[in-house]
Amino acid sequence: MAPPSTPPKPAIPERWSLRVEIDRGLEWVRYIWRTLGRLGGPLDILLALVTLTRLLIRRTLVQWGLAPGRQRRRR
Amino acid sequence: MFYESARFPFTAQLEAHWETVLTELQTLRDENFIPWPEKYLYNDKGWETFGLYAFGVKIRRNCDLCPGTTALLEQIPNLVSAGFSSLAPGTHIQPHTGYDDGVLRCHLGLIIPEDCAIRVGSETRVWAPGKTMVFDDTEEHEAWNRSDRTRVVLLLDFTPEAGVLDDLPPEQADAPVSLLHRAGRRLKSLLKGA
Repeated sequence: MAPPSTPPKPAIPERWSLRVEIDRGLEWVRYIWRTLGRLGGPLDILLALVTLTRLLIRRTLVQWGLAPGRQRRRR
Repeated sequence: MFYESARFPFTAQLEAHWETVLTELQTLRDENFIPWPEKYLYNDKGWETFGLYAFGVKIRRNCDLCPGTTALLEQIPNLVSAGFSSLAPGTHIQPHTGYDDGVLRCHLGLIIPEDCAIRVGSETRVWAPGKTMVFDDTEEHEAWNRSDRTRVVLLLDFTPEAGVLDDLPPEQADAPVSLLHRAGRRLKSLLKGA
């Protein structure tokens, strides 16, 4: 096995704007929509939506410091 | 940070049956894969996924196409998400960090061309067919494929046993539901204190 190569140069990040954020959100909506169609039945879809909502709430609480999250290691 | 795969007994099972997973992967069609939504990380095309489990929810129609892989996944304790992840030639997933969901990520190498690698923190590793690697995706990571073939791994997130995540006290390494309960208690105490 060859030794690992070095990472490519990082791209210049897209400038932040509300439009950019909306587009990114829409990509998630498209992705979830396509995934929901593969779940199998209405009950599975309902369960998935409940799980998704719970996850979003939890991530928001962690971000706001209202739920304990892990300290991220940064180097 | 990478973890020793041997710390997680399920990885031995995955490695022992990796050819079953590869065979099922090869029966899938390109249109079964969905582009990963964070397109700004990889310049719009080149990173696609085929989900099997998402946050504990079984993606039944996809699992039906891969019964052997599904049976292997169902033996993994505390599996959260799983699926195939394909990286087209020339694709570079930019440095990013995952969400703080208290999980570790495992990759099982399936189709691994030359000149593909992943960097997690300051360490860069290459995948090997039939071998797993485990890492903490909350640390900055990136991946690239400079070959002329598509790289595919089986990707899965799992909640490790308490205490495995080295910067997390064991009492905090439990499931998201109890995190929500504790968040509720903390919110109440904050409101009482206000």
